[in-house]
Amino acid sequence: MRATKTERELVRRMVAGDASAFDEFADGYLPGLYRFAAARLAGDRELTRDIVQSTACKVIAKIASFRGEAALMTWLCACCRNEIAAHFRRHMRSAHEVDLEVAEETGAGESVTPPPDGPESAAIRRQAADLVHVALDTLPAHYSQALEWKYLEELPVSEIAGRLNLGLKAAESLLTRARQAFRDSYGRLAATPGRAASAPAWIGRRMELES
Amino acid sequence: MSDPRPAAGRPVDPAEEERELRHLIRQAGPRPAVPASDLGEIKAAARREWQRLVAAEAARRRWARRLAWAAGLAVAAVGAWWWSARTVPQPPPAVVARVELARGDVRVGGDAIDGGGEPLGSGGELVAGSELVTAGAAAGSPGRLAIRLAGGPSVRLDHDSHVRLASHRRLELLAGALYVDSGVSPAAGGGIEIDTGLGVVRDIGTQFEVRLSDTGEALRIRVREGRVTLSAAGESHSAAAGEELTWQRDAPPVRGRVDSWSAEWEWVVAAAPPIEIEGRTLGEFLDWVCREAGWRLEFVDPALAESARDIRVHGAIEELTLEQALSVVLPGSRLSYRLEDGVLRVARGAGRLQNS
Repeated sequence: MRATKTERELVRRMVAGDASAFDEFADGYLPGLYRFAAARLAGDRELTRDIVQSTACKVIAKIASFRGEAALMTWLCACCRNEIAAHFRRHMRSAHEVDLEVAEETGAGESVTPPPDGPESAAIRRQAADLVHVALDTLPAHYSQALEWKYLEELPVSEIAGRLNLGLKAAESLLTRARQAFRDSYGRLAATPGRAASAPAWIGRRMELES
Repeated sequence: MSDPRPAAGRPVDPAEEERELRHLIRQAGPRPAVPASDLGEIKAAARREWQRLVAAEAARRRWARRLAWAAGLAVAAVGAWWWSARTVPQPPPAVVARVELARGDVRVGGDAIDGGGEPLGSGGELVAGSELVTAGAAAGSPGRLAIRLAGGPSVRLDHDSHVRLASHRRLELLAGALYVDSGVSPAAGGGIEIDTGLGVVRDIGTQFEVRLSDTGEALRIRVREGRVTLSAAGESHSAAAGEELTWQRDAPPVRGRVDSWSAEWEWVVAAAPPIEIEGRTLGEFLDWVCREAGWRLEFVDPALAESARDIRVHGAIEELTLEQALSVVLPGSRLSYRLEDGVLRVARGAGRLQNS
């Protein structure tokens, strides 16, 4: 997914020295980046903070070179992944990074379903939740917020429209676009071999129709 | 997430999709909150990095503006220079010589050697780079030329000669022969140079002839007065008054003798520019005649040498040979003369002294 016009404009304002643009960037992207890193560092809070800080500084240092060929969050996540890999190469130890693929494969491929209350099932549920959270974090903030309001808080569309200062029709249209963006993001995250088998049915159908 | 995978080709049901999505998001629950202290620390570090970035960008833009200004000014300066160079008339090239005598077919110009160029006449001015060509005897009107270089030296070209005036101090002999009379003492700042292609001849206050052979492979220098040096093939040779030096590639120089008044100099005398004698002293006239002819002047009566400096001569000697001029001027001053072995003897009394 390419960067939106809004994201390119945000970067341009940041480079130009607009302090409000920096705040928008920090408030809109750093929490998601933190969750992205935390999900891969097995809850090591100190390491997560260091990795995210290092990633954020490096991204900002080269943000003038951002051309919008990928979404800004995708770019941040790629940089963070590199930072995590570099950290473990430096420290010569295996990553604590959560291997979502292995977790998914294990959950989907075994013929014997683990007990629903067992530790293995809990781990699978946690990794799946991480996947959803990362997918939400890669969306534009107002998309992920609207989805959470709609499906977690179960707010009516009129309430969502009010919070976003939109009309009813515009809010419905925004929710439609947000759902589509989530499907795309989640689909990409789940599209690696072994993971698709555990993805919801509509992911598979979408992939079949699109192919 | 536990729904069975549908059969391929089954149409997408939007309502079912939304139910799935709702289920997925609800099962995942709200995104975990990020510890405020961690986020604050990260944001502070990111802000410092952003401020560095903004400062660096501002500096880069300032430099870019300055460079753009500098480039603009440079372009403007070059443009102004080009415009002024195009519109302001350039000073005429410096005159390096003036024509004193042009006899026969004498031309100047880059294509003069091919019969082109402009005919040269007495009084004409010559600029650096001028090429001078004197026609040969076969042309029916052999050319001879006398010019006066800026700074004083007199240069003469024999017929069949081709010379380029590189400057008022440097001449290139491309064919034929030239004669230089640089005066009794060398010019200030050094004498003139004759580049022959085979070697460079430098005068040291003298009269001399430089002649290239017809093939251009040999060079002959005859020194009438003073001394010259020849630099050729990494070696230096000098020749003094009365000496003749012949040089060619891959051969030792050959030296011989030459008299200052011999027939070898006839062409030089023929090309001598005339002087106006009206009002000059007899002594000046006799000095000029002897220098041009290579003669030595002697007064039979030493007292006459003194009085000759006060005798004024009158008339004109243009178109006369040196001997004809003597035969006209001296009797008018009640003097007689005799030529013997390059010596001009002058005595009181009319008529010509008998040669001994």
